[in-house]
Amino acid sequence: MVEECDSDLRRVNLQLQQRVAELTQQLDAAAKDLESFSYSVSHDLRAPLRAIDNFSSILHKEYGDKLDEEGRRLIAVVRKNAGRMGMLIKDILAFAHAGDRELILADINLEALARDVLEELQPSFAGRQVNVQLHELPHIRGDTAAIRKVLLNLLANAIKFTRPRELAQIEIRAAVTGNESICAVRDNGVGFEPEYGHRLFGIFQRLHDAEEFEGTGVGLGIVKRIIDKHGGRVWAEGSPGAGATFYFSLPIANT
Amino acid sequence: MADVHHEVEILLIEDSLEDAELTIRVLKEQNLANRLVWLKNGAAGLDFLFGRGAYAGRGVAEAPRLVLLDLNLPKISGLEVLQQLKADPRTRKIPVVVLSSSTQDKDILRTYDLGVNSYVSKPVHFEEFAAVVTQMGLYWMLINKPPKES
Repeated sequence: MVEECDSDLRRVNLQLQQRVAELTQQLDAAAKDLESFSYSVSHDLRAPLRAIDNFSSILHKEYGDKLDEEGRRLIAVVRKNAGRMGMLIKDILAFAHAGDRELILADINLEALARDVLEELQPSFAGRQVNVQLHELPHIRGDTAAIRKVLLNLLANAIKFTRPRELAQIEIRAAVTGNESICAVRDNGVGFEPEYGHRLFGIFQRLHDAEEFEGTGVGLGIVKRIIDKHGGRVWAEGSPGAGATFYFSLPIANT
Repeated sequence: MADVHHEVEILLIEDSLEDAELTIRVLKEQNLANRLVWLKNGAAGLDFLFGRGAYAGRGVAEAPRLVLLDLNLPKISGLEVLQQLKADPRTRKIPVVVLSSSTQDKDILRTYDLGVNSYVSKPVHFEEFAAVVTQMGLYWMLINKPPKES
């Protein structure tokens, strides 16, 4: 009786293992399909976009003086949107690219990396008053190029959304708690309404006017994708007019 | 000065009417398109270069000074055209520049494996496109020194 149960269990176990293997294979195939889909979509979209952008520009350049003001305004609308579509295509590719390679884990000096990223961003806030407070940050374990992209997106956002402030305050700090390192990027920018906070990390989700703050809304989607891949978490706190804080956590390897 | 461009001959193999028009337009502005031939697929391109089919009687030695090649072509792909050109000692020395929408590493790698002379990805926006095609054209037609047959 016990032996019968045992062999039944073993059979069920084996079936389950097979099922998991099958599903994993299907999932891998689906992920690959999606990747090649996003590549080909973005490449195939480029050709017609090139025609729209180039021919409308030629129209403006060579026939602009034959049109009245309204005619020229209409061409400008076409060109502006062609530019926006170009950005979207570029960002779809960047998003697809953010998750398509294996992570190479290494010890990262987060503080040095943050300094490096800030230096790269320097030209984007030239002429503005921006006070960046970089606290002591720990060493973490992660993929250097990927974590660099995370910091770049979070800090670029902080710089962008503090633009209306006379003195922008940006603060980067981190804490190690139990089994994870948590890094926070805080700004005194325009903030967001907490009830929409869950939408922030969705791809191409935006909470602000495109006229007010440029961008396609891919940045935080890339951040989430990278941190998910590291087995960490992302979240945000903020309120309208009172700034925002973006967090990411990374598991501490028990080695 | 008038004769400087006299020998210019570019073979453009490109299936997109719009991309071809834009490319020729930019080259024309630089006076580089006076003796340009445009063909719309890889098969016609190979016929032209090897003097076959519709171009029977054309000598293989009458090679263009530059081939501008798109990758995504009907009938015979750009990669195949490149492969055949570089495999034949008679056509191997013709400079081939791939002009493609693709920025994918694997496409770029394949063309270099086949011996491409240059890979240029076609920018989407007007100012960049004009700048890239201008620089590319001037470099290959005026700066680059091709080998002389001895």
